Amino acid sequence: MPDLVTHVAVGYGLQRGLWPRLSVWFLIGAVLPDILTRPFTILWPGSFWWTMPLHTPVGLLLICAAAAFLLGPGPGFNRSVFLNLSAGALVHVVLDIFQTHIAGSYFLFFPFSWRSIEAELVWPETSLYLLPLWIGLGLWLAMKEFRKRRGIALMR
Amino acid sequence: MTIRIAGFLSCLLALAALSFYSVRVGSDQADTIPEIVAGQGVESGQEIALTSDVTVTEIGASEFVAEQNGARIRVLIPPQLRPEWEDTRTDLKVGDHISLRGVCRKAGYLEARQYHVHKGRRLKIWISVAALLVAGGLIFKQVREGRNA
Repeated sequence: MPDLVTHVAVGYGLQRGLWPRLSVWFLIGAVLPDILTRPFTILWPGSFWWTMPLHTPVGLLLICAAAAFLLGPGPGFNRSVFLNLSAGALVHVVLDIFQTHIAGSYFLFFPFSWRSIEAELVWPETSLYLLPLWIGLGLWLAMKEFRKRRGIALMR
Repeated sequence: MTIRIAGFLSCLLALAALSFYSVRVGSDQADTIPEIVAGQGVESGQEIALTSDVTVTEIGASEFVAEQNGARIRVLIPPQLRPEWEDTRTDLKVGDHISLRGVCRKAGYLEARQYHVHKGRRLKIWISVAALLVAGGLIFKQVREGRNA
């Protein structure tokens, strides 16, 4: 995985910047695969195969569907929650594909195939070099928000 | 309400089935040091690949000791990897995470074919924890503003 800063920055940027029609569920979807799996695999490496399906497209679609059934305000399946969560999770998976691993990579076609596919462009830690960019962008957005709020307060 | 509960439970059951299948079949897809040390399904001359939860416990001039889940194995660096190893060794510390591909030898060691030291792994984990808090804040802010439709 790239670090979670990269996933949050890309998810938030797409949601608020490029396509404002996306709901907050998109941002949740963008971090969902790592939240569901990494705490377990970091603390208990032996749990890798238990949580691995939660970082695959089929597993994620099931999680998103479960959330849509459980959290929707309607009587049945909440399509908006499902589509936004799934789209966020898809962006996460796409970002992960750019990485390279010697072992333990991603099984995109699980449970139909055990073939792991990666673009093999960057090592998992390489995304850390983008941190100054994300921090700068974050500070700029925070300043913008602060000025907007101050402007509203002065108008009152 | 019945549809929601049935749908939710069906998804959870399917996920549980996937997890069991993954544990049963997937664990054959990767090698671990405890399996190699115990000689379980790993033969001499067989190529193996170890993931990044392997740590370095000893560093030598042309070898290192790798540890995973309490089991240790010696990894020899062959002549073709020595120039790269010389550069790596100056920066390598005990406790660093490493992933590697190598060949099992009968005498109980591995001969490295390719390796990668995951230098920023701990930093990445802590930064990701901070990012999770930021994401939580951003999500909370949007929910408060009513953007959770």
